[in-house]
Amino acid sequence: MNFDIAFAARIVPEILEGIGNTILVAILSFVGACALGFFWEILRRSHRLVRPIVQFIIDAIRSTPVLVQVYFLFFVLPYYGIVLPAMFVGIFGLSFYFSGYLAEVFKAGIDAVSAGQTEASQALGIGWLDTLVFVIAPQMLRNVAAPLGAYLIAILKTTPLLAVVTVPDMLGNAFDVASTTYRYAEPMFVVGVLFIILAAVVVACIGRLEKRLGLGTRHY
Amino acid sequence: MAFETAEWNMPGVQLQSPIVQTAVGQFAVRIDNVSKWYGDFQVLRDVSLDVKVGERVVICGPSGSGKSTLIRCINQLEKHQQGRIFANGTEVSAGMKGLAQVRREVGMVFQHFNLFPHMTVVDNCTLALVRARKMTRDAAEEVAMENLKRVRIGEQAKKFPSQLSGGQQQRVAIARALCMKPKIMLFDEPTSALDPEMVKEVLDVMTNLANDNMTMLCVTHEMAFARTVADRIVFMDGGEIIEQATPAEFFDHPKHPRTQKFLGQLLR
Repeated sequence: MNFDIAFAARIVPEILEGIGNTILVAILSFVGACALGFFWEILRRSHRLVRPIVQFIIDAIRSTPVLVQVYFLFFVLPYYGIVLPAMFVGIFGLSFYFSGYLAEVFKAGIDAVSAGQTEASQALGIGWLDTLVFVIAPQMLRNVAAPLGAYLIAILKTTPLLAVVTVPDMLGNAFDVASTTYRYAEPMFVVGVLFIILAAVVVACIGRLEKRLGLGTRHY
Repeated sequence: MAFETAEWNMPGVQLQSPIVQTAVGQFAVRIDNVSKWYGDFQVLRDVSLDVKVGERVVICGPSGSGKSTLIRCINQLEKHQQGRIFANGTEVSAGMKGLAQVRREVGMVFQHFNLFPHMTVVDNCTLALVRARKMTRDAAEEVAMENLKRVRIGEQAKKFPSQLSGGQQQRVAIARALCMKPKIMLFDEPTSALDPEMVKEVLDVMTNLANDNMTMLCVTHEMAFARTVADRIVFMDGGEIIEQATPAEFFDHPKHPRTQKFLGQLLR
């Protein structure tokens, strides 16, 4: 089968229609994964009896393939009367899966903040929540900015998996083209190129954001 | 003088060590037979120490003698496992309720300053006032500026800690603690991390505080400061208080051989 460049160019608009969903799912999943991951990490630090339970949850999340988790949410839960919309399953599934990894990122980020910071805050009689929000979190964010960017791209690249639970995205559109034309080379090629462009845009945005926030160059 | 077990501030609280009966609330800190272990290693051995309101006490001793651990137990940055500690009349213990309230009345200055690096100098000072004391921003800033001027660093209020010298940072840390209007100030080797030329500016601020009748408990190796400012010097070694005396007594007529050895090493 010859690669037809004209055909590839012709199908770009149809595949590109899915880019909105790809971006939407990636950003919402990223936000969800950050929130849930941070929650896991705080819970893990909260009490010595809670710690092993949370550690087990994080390990379990990281030890199961994302595809299994998404299948479970979309195809298994309905047997028990829980029917979730595909879009919700996609966003929640990715949030859940990546929260396990982000919890580890936040752990490293918090560990890298000197213990003296917590001590100084405690010694002033500042409560734990205020200490977390105003003393630890801002310093942690500087430490985790770079890995967070990497995970945003990882999440972006995982969104096509959601085609299996009928979340319409660029890969889903490419499958549609393929199944009606019986040509796979061009649609897959187009999807690949579009992801490269998307990732490049995200990298550029993160770079600008880091510069703007003065991250990377620690001024302390 | 009759020694008896003091019933102090709290009915039914029997302290083990013999302490002269005094009026309620006259002690800023009472440490009564406190012991602490790190695993099998005992860092504090039956330490008892009282600091009266308005008193300046310097703790000195070789490294690893438990000085820092002792004062960090007063605001429970370290937990003691035996004995009792009272800070401004309230007993402190691991997992107690209201520990934050006790800590607000106990100022602490650390060896490595521990300023919040992402906040300006003035924000370092206002954080606890706004978050813990629930003051308005404006009122908090007023208090902060007052105390920054007190340590002669008011003109640096809008800078970040990283833009200041070590001595300036430590003075900010002192101002930050003073903003809470603490009843006692704990100093944990405040000049040990400073370059030599910056030690004096910090000690000057501490001397001024002493002259303002602040109750102070300082762990320090600055013997000249101890001699001029302290009412009492406590010498610790191996987790125990070996000797305590007035500066004149302590420096000129140390009684215990270990004290003599320590002072001998310092003066040489």
